Amino acid sequence: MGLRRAAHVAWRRVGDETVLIHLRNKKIFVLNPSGGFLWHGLDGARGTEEFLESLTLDHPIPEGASGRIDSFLENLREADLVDAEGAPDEETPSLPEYPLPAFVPPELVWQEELRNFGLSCIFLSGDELCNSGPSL
Amino acid sequence: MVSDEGLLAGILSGREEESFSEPIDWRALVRRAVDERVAPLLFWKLAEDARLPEGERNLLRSELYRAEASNLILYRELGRLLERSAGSGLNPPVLLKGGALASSLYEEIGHRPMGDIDVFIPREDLDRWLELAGKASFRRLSPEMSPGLDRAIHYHVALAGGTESEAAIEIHYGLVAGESDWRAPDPRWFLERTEEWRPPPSVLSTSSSPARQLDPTAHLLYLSAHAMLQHGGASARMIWFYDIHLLLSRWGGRVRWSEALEQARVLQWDAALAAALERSRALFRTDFPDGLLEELEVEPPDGDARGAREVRRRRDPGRRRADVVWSELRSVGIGRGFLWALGILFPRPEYMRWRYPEAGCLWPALYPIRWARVLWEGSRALLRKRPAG
Repeated sequence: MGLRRAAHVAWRRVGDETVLIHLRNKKIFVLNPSGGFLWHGLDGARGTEEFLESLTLDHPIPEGASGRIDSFLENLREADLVDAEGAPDEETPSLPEYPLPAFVPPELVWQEELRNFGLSCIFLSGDELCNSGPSL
Repeated sequence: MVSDEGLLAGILSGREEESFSEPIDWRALVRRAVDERVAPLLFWKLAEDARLPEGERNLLRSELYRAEASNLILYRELGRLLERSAGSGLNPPVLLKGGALASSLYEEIGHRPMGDIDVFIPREDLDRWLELAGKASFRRLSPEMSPGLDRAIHYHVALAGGTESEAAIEIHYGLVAGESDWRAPDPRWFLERTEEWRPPPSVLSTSSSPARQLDPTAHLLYLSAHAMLQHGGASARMIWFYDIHLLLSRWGGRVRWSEALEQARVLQWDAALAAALERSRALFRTDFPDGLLEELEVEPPDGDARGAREVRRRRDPGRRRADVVWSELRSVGIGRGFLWALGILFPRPEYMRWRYPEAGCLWPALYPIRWARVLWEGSRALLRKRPAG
């Protein structure tokens, strides 16, 4: 059984990167294109070997690729972005085409906390823009 | 020398080469971009540009990711609210400004930062929407200053909460100002000029109940009045004019100009529309029909240029909060203005406890401090030389 994307994580492709937001601790993580490809396939059914088999590359898979994927998945697990529990999805969706001609190690390329979420007038009584009405 | 504002606008509208001949204070430019809510757009435009220093590149990159994540959270919570509204018999709400445009007009939702999502509903549906929002774990952000004041004076209720995250949604039952204020339009005209809002499935699940957005003509009018009459030119942010620029660039062919002009005159929003279009053109060289500004700037036949005066007043960068309050009180008329003033001076205890949480049980002692502050700010505003008009 493989890992699956945690339900408390929202995500979205932005250009060739994938932005994840951990909805409980409000941490943002950004994955490189390889990382995004693996993230897309984290449905509870695939593990490192399945991922390697799914790669269609112009170049041979380099030695150590398996270890790099394991390490990436471990990073996701440590960041509480994936679950190991639960049965795999009934229908394993097909993976998109691997975005690169050669294997590039999947990585978390950015991490930060989403501070001041809801930085809206209604949260900031001192903001000039919030003073369009007499909210003294 | 090109100003930060000019440089920013030039980059956002693809004219950066005109400005890049001079040395650039990148730190100042990035700071300005953050203030004007256009930092994610700036990153998008300059991501591949080698002239952008690494430190500033990372600051902008972070702004894009933050906007992307925030907007994703806001849309998820909106989706939950829409799902609850499906089958309730309520008409789909109308999304305003960023909530509508980030996913329908911009290339990427993170390019249009939002602090909250604004939804517009018929006034008579407000109680049912508040009940629905309560079931979706939203609560009113602040208590009313005095009972009934919100509906008498204001035009939206700010909610915070949600199922997964602390998101902010504003439910508007009016536009721009409270219904007794001359700036407020007849909401029916806007509620009748809507179209389906179609977010990409990656933003909002298609199983959610659909929402609507204003059609380009109505949205252009609303965006202009929001920027120039609700907030005012002095505090209007660049992103609001970029909204207008993008709306006209992408959907300009669907704007019914004669209807926009006619309605702007009816609402006395003509000066606001002219000012917003002028600003958008000055910043981004926005294209709109020739002669439009001249037509909008014609003095009304009855000589009542209230809209133009208000736009001028709100452009004054030296406006203080007391000026804003005074202007709002005058706009709503004597009776409701008096009610409002009473609310400001004698807000109910729930409001005081919310407004001054650090005071603890000493909140009653803050009434005199509040009165002194009102007196101080009011005196300063009166002593200050007011601009003509």
